[in-house]
Amino acid sequence: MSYRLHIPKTLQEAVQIKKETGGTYLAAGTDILVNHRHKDDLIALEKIPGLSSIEEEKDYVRIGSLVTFNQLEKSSLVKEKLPALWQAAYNTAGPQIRNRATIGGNIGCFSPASDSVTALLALDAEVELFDGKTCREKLENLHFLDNTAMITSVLVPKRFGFSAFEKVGKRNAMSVSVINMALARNGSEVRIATGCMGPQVILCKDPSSVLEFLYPINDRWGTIEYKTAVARKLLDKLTKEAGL
Amino acid sequence: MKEKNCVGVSAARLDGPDKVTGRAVYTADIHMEGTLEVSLVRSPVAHAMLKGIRAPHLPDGSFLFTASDIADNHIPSIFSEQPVLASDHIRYQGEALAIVAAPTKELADKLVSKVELDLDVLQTVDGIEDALKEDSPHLFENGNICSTFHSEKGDTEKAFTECSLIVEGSFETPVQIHGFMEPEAAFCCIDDKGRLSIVSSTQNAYSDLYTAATATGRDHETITSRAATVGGGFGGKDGNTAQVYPAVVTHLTGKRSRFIYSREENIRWGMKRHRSLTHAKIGFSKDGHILAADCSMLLDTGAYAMLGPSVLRLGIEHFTGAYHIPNVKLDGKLLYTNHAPASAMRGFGAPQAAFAFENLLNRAAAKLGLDQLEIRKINAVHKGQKGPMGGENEHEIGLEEALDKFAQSPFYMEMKNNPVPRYGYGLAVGMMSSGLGKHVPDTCHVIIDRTEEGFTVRTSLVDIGQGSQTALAQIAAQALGTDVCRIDMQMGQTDGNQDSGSTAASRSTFVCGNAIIQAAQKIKEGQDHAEGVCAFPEASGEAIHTYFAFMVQGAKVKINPESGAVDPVWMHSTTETGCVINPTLLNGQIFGGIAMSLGMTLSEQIRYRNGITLENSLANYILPSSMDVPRLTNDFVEKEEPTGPFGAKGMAELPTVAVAPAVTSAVSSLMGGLEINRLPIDRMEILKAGRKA
Repeated sequence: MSYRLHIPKTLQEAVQIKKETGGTYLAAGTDILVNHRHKDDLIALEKIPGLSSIEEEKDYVRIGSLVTFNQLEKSSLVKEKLPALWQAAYNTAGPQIRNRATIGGNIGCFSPASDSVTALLALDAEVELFDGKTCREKLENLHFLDNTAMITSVLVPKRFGFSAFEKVGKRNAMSVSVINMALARNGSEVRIATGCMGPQVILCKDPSSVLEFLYPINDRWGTIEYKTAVARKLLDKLTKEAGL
Repeated sequence: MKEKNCVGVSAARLDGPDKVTGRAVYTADIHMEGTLEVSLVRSPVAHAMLKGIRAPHLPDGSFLFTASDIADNHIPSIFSEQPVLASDHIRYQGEALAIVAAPTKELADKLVSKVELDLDVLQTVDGIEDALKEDSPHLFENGNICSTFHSEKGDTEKAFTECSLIVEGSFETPVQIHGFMEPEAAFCCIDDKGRLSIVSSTQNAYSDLYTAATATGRDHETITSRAATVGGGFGGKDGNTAQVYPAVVTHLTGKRSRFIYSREENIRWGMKRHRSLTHAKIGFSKDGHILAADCSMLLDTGAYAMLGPSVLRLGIEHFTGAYHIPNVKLDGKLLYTNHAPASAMRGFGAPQAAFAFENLLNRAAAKLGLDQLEIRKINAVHKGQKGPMGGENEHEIGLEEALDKFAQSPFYMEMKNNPVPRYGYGLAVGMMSSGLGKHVPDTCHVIIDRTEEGFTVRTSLVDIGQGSQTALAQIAAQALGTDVCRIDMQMGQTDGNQDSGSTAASRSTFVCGNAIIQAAQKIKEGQDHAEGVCAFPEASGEAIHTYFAFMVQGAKVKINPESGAVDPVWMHSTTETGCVINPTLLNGQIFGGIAMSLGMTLSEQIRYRNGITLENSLANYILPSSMDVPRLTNDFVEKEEPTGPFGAKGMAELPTVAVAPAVTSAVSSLMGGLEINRLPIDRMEILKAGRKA
């Protein structure tokens, strides 16, 4: 493993390096340094100030992209206002990884098994992106593959009176999800996100048709039969908890 | 001299301070200038004929060696049919074909990737089922049967006709890895006496010396070998792993070299626990006495036998477990396949057998209206009774006492009375021999010297992390009438020692403890330097082993209704292993062994597809985490074994034996008698059974 490591001190500088080298933004590296070791240029974001705080705004909780899972887990604001995200953070990996891994990195690694993305999609989160200028996009509309902008913060609406997250892994910690699911409800508005059941996390707004949109595959983690059976059970559990 | 009480107490581990402060030196910690890093050219396919190897251009200071560079191209073992480097017939994916050594690991790996192989690929024998097929290709001239084992006592056929209940079933257990923290590693150099010096992560320094002597053609006197601090073995470092490759490099180049397995190499190509297919049929009288048992076992030993034939023998010998049965028929086959070789792993065939037998015993108990403890008490083996092969049990057996003690435990009270329907309970009994077994040299040599500070105690046995250093120092202190802090244990090297064999087969405390006591006696009689020798006693009659330890294992579980995951919440055991030398260390081994077998029960497995493992990292080979290990409690029955050191018997492997059947029986009790015959437990089976219920 060898690469050029750039350590910009400002957002502008980071964007400049990105344009010049076509490099990859690096948050904590818990995914990139393990699974994508053949990059030429890595642009470490950790020296850029202002990306590591959780703040309450009028309608949103604003979470900096470098906020770690440990910070999410320790935040009473997240626990109280965004329980699905708190549960996802709490159930991700183990303490060592939660101390490093960031919410921005988890979104950026674009995995169908990202626990936080499942929670954030259910919670109708938006992301703030920086590419020389700032823009804002709903997470469900974000097209990762042709997006080269940096995620600077995640804005999670506070409007959902109920939200919850469920995960099934092969062991009780340090486990990739075999399937995960989150449900957020605000009156008649219901959003259900399911991970690991397709090439990306799948969002559905109608509890009665969630299962129709899932297309799991047989893999090392389980069979289609098993994943489908568990999806049905998680959906039953979450809808019951949500009073649906 | 004042009476000391150094045994039976929880002395602190002698290796503890070095390990928690990071001062302990493991093999990979050895950095010396000019050390060549070794990588292997491994076969990309599971079964092929090797037609040629084309080496890339080698920069100055880099080397590549093939089979023609090896003096005598085999690794000494039971059959010794495994080459150091394959030269014609390739029998598993990952088999070593050539050794590359370069100044850096990166360069060594790069050179490996540039080696071109000319292969004629053959059909893969992808497991036991394939190996048994008539039309499958043969791994060796004589076919795919590596060894067989058969034994018959009494007349089982006739006895079954007299039984009022017969239970029968087929069972399957997975390939498991040892999961030690420190991967396989070895460092070699030429020492100041011109000898080839091997330092490695090993369970047997002498075996490394012999292997290197064969491969290099050196005399034994020109090689020295020692274990560095070892970060776990569990059988997986009993025999050659990494050692022979740097030994060849250093012998041929005169340069220092080292080879450290990556975790992927460890998972894919390290030794394994044998996958098993077992079948058992057990016949009972109306009152629950076992009248007859007919048991068979098929094991996948992979491409080479290694210690497989002994694993088969021990697994079969332990099949009918801890019970006195008048008519017993036992059959076993060890099969060659195109998988990475399986060899020793803690339990050595016994857990595979117990999974079948103990589950069937609980199913019979349910049918007979007997309690799981009661059916075992009725049939428990006693000293003086004949074992499954007809030989008499000559040494102390405290199984009945262990069952009685377990019956008094809070765990068993809860199991009998707890009305909470979401918990399931089960129990099983494990039996485990100690000693290498009949006709296998099993002798330990010890040298004690009086020094200014106290005494040095030397032996070639290795403390591989289990804590034998501390237990043996306690035995030495007790025997010498001194304190543990005045004992300097020097273990694991060939220099100045004689061959004491492998740290394996739950033998160290017994065989080395007795040798220490013998030497200590001479010191007490006035000598400043004394040697002690103990040969592990062999069974006198028809039996392989003659010392056994026992464990009653209880499991309390609940089931996650959404995922079907089995969640153990409490494992309680009663252990009978003679007198206890160090209760804390013993509990450590017991709890570690239980965690290890919980892995095989719930999540661990290596699966092959066309000879290639699906698992290649600790992210997808699912070892239990601390969050997966339940509350663990254990108590002891201390029945003195008069021939053991201060009454002790060996037990290191014992706790792995009965975990799986205890857990599956607990699940079964929760799921209306669901029969679980395959490990790891399939969650879909649980969900389906739940739907029916």
